[in-house]
Amino acid sequence: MPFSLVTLPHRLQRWLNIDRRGDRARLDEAVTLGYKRIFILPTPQGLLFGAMTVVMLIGAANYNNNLAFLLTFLLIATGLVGLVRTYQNIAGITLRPARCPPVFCGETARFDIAVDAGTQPRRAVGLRRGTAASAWFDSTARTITVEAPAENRGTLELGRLLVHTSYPLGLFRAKAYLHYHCAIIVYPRPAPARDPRRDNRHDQDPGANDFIGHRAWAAGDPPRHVDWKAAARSGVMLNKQFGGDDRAERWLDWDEHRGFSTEERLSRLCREVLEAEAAGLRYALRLPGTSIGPGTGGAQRNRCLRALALFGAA
Amino acid sequence: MNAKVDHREHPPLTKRGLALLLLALGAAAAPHATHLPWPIILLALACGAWRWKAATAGWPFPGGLLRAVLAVCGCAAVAWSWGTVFGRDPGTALLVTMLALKLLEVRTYRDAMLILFLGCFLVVVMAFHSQEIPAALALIAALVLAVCAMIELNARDHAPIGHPPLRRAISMLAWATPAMMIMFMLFPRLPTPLWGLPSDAYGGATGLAETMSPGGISHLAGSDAVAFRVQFDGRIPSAEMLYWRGPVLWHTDGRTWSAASDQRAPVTRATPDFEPRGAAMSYRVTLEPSRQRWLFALDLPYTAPPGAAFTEDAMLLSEQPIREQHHYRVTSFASYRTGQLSAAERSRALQLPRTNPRTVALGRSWGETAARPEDVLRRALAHFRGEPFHYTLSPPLLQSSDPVDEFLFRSRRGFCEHYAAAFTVLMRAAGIPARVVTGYQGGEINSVGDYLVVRQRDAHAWAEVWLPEEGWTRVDPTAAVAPERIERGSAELRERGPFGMRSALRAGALGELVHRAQQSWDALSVRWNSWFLAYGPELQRAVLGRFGLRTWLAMVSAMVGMTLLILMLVLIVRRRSTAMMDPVQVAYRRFRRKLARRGVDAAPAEGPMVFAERARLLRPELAGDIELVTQLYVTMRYGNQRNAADVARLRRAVARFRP
Repeated sequence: MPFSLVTLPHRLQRWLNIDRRGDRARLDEAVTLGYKRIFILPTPQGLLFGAMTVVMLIGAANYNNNLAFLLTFLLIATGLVGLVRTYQNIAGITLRPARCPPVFCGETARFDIAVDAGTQPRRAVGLRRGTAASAWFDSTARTITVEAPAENRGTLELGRLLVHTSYPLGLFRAKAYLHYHCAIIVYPRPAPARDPRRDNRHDQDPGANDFIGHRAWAAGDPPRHVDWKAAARSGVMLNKQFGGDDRAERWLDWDEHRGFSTEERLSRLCREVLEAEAAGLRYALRLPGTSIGPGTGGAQRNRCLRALALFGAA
Repeated sequence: MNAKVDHREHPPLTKRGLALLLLALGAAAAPHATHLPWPIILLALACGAWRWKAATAGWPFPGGLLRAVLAVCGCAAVAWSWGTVFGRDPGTALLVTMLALKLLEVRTYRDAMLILFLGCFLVVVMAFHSQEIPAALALIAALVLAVCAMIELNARDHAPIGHPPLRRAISMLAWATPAMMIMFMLFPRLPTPLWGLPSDAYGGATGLAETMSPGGISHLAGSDAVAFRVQFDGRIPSAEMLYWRGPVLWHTDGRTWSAASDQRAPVTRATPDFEPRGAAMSYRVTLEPSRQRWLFALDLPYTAPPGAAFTEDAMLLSEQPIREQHHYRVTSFASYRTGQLSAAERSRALQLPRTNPRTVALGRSWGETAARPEDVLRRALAHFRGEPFHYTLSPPLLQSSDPVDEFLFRSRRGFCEHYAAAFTVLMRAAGIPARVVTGYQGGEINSVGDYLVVRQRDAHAWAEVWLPEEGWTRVDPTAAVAPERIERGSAELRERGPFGMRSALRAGALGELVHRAQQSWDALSVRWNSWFLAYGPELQRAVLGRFGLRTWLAMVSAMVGMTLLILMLVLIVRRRSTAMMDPVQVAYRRFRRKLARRGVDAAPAEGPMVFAERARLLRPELAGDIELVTQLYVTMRYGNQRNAADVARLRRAVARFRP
């Protein structure tokens, strides 16, 4: 919005509403960078430039050299105009987290930030998360992607973003911190594909998708077919019997991956979800305390993966 | 989070950035070319070319050993040229050398910025060499280029948005100008230097020397440099009255004339020592720096300006050497009568060494035969007029131990100092107290500014004799030989001399035009001098005192306050002007204002589509118009297509929109 007397009260109100929350307040909505949010400091180059003008000024004063005075003041004044221009280079930019698509652990998380640069020409504005390198944009930008490595299953907070610039002169650096309440869901890293031998056995097992009953356990049966709950209750190893149509529901069960750590179990379940989805099956996920499905398609897949990602989170 | 920007965050040094950097450094160094020794200039050019080739043709960067050798060579060249590495000129040359060598290792943004700052420093250093208008223009242009290079170095993009760097730089400097003027006016000026000034602080000033020997003044004859300018209160007196009195020389060793045989300080007095007659002439002199204490004034000065006093031989002497342009007012009387001659003065005015025997013999014979001193005077002038004497700017060198004899009886070609010296020796030999006066004669009237310009080529020497009835009386033997020198001035005389080109230029309408342009230029320089260069501690106190700013603190507070005010203006005006640029956005803002007045306010950072949705719900009767305006705006603002017809449609739609 342009500056004018008509809009001044309005602007004041906006500043009061938004910017008073300060740096540390978490934001959900779009934020326009205003004077309360932006702070501006000299760069090392700016400090050097300042020291140089002081030396020039002392020289000019000592010799009462008016042309030296004039040139020195021209440099100082240009530096100050540069300060205003640096501020203006980020003032009025509106930012909003637009899309935070989930990723698998080990991949690169990409936060899409929608940018409205407003009416002014802007150049060399950096957007930085943490200590990563900045993403640079100018006034043609509509969306900036901030990348971060997804190293742990769960949620990856966008956290505090730094918007900064030192254009045009590089003597001052204007910056603003934004703390968005926005997170990317990080799915567990899918476990490596299981070994083909076991795959073959599984495939030779006809109609092995639907649970149809129990039989006594025999050596060589896969451990995931053991009904561990029943075994715990009765003390007898019973093997779950599967059968029926391939098209029928398939249960992906937490309990089938006994003997692995939590993260390994989640990884394996993750792989199973992906495989089931790729095979076009109807599937359901059973985790301690919750079960999802049965169902099929992207929505089901996402719900399952999300449950896996957030497993154990409060 | 660490707020520091690490080195990865600096923009890369692009070819475009390097080109502008080299250009800016060239512009910063170019004005120095006049006082840099040629090896340094060559070194700087070679380093610049090498760096450019390294960027464009893949030349390797020179190694540390080569750079060290070049650095030693540079220092040697400086030491060879001046005999020292200290002082203003050698210091400048060393700075240029350093800059040139640093250029060979510039690879990163930080190096580039550093060397650019050094370039800015070089620009300001040039102000200590020259403060004339051409220098000022060249230096401001160099700063524009430096700012331009800074913008390019920080831009970081390949497809420029908005103004190109040069326009951006000019715009920034234009905005900086008011703040610069405020600081220039209000920054408190020091009445005394912070520390002792080095001897060469003000540059070598050409001008009259303390002593006079054959050829001493004629070397000034080719110099167009301005000695001083004079603004008369009334009419400018005629040329034969314009004798600008400078050092008075009493003592001679036969060749060289000086003020006294010993180096004692001149005795000064606060009041003049003569009886004025006739009309007074009042005028204001603007003296160029001469690094001497003499204040030139018309024969004879009657009032002494503040900070100056009279010498015993009626010359004005300032308390301090004139290091900067100096303004003073004097009142003089063309007719006067000085007092009696003391015994000491008489003996000084008759002192003669045992040289030039023929001249002394001639003078003595005149003295013995003449009844009155006036007769000797007339006889001497008649001698100069009658014998084949020539007034010339290029007199033959007088190398014998009796230079006056050589001039008077053999070469008979001389400049004013030859005639003044010969005449004074003749008078002394005849027993008439006499002395040599040096200074300037005449001057050129600038019809544009209606003032008189006295240049170095107007330097002159004449004689004064003491007559019992009149006291000291001026006699100009040069006028006897070349009366036109006195009547029409040095400039015209010179045209008949060896300066053929100038006379060709002066002839005809073109010459008139050139002359007129020269006069206008000089008048402009006078304004520059009196408005800009003269602004020192005294003028600052006088000007700011009128606004009630008398103390140091008041000046600084006013300076800071007004500078901040101007920066606020920069902040506000720019927003308005850029926001006003795009007709599409202007129209859309008007649309929003119209709605806002009806209570449909835009939420912070609400996009146009969301806003339109909300507005439609609040004012369903306007849905059609809102949709049309929003549709047009979004298409043109965020899409790529935009045509004049659509812009006109948007404007019309907004104009007739009546919520």
